[in-house]
Amino acid sequence: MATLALRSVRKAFGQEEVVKGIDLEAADGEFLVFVGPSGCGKSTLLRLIAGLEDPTDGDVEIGGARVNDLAPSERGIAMVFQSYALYPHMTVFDNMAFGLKLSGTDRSSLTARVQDAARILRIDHLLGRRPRELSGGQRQRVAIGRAIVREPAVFLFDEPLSNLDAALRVDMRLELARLHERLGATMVYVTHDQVEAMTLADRIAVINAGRLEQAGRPLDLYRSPANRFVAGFIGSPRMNFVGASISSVNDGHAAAAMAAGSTVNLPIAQAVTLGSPATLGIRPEHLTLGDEGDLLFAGQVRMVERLGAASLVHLTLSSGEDLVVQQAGDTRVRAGDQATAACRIGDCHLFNADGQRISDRDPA
Amino acid sequence: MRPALSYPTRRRLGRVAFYLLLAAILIYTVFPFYWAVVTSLKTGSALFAPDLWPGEPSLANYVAVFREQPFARNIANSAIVSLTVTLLSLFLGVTAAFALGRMRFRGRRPTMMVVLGVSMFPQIALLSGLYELIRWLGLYNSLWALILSYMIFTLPFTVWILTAFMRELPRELEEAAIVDGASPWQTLTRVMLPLMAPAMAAAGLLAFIAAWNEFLFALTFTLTNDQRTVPVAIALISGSTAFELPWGNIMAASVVVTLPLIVLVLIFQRRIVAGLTAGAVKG
Repeated sequence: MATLALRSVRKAFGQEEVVKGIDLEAADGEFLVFVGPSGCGKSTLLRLIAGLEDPTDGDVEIGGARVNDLAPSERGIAMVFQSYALYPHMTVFDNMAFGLKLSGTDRSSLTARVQDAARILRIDHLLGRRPRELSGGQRQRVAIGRAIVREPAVFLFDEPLSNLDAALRVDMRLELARLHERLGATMVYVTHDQVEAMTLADRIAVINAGRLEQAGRPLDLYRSPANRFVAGFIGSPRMNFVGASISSVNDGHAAAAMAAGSTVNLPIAQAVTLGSPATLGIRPEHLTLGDEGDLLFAGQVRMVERLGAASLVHLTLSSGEDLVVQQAGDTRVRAGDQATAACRIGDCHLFNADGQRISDRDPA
Repeated sequence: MRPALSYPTRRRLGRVAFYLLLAAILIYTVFPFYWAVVTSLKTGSALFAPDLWPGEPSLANYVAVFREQPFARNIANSAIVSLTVTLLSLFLGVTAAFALGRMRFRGRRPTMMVVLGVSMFPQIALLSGLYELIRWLGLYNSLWALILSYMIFTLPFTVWILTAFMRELPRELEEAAIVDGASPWQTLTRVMLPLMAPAMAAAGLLAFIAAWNEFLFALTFTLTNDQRTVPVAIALISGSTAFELPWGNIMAASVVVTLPLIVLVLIFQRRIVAGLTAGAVKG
């Protein structure tokens, strides 16, 4: 069990800088999730923690000690790879015991540790099999088991569920949450799937183009995204963005006039220049069809996606912008209808021209 | 326009043509060996009658080959040289492939090119220089001269085959071993090597065959009959007079030295195919 810290960590491959100075800490026992689009540097960041890559600049600390110069096996970490990376020629038992054998652990405690881990993961009946005789979910468990037997201070997961089918992914997600609760170890988890991030994480770090966009508890990121990128990345379906410009500023409030016609007045936390372009963000689930709300959007229904539990109504506004409305259950509107969507002022986010959020979130 | 023949007929004709071609190729490749076997079983004047089947098959030639010269010794020499060459090539090839296929370092591509370039020189071009080298090393007329010189042509292709195969192994496997605390040597021997078996079988067998059949270096670098390998020994089998070429003995000897190769190929053929195609397609 240990804390983890990244101090201005940078990593460049040749001329190309992939990680552009990231500062981040994880408390002891915390489940930290790196999330971001593919190629954003989140996997590289994980590999820097593991010691599979050396940082170009900055420090990696585990348990308060700088580990830059330690080999991966000396850092007290264990890693679960995306492809599982099980040794194909070894049995499940040998796969899990390999690291312990190399470190010279005596036979009886080695066997005990492997069997304990196998029991936790319910793969104790598979110990004699080879990886090719296992299903995807079982292989995943073996890969996790191989990490557990090392009794690491920090677990590193690199998109561990991305090779599983949808149903299994949900099961393994629950299992990982259970495992984290049981082991109480610090875990760092990389994914591009924001549902995994939201459900598993104590804290999420949203990474984009090698920079940390925002780190915080899942619901804080959902409620108060620091910028447009985080707002768009966290939440599904994606947040709607509507173009606007600042039409008046006074007394901690700013009014944003939308191309589609209406104007919205929001409390702001940051200074903003009059007349500058801005973006209004509203989540689909905060919009309802009808005219009961503070802010109305009129448009034509372009498409309706019926998911059963919810329906996604795609509107095209008079400005030509698209707006997605999530309705619970089924809906009667059809493509081609005229419709109005409404939302509460408190559910709106305002972003300045740089994409930073300027609206102050009312805690109520 | 409709073809003159219906589709099933064309298919049947196509199949007949295929088997005819197959038979032609088979006869072309197997006949020389068959002829050697048949000739080796003939004696006396029957040797000079072009029969496809020996009238009175006899093993006299086989007995003669082993009695009239140190042929068992020649076979042992060939075996020692070929095995040593194979093992050394595989060992050096695998370790080189690990570096060339797995590690990033400056000069990796030039190294690969030089390795390939070495194998491009015709043997005859190397012969006199190599002869000087071997004299200077004091290896003339010893099996080590052959082992050393055979490595010149076995190493390049072993390195290339094994490097191509090594590259196909997933990088995460190696990284998993690193996280598990394996040293590079342990990663190579305990994780990579067991997975390389097909490529090792293919490369090893090719090296063995090349060394077993080599003639020019063996002729040049050995002097006495008890240091000769089989191909040279066979070529130098002589009759009782300068005007007699003992075809029966030569053919018997040829059959004897071909058998080990056939056995080896039959044992490893599955693995060879797996190994040879392994680097071909990206998985």
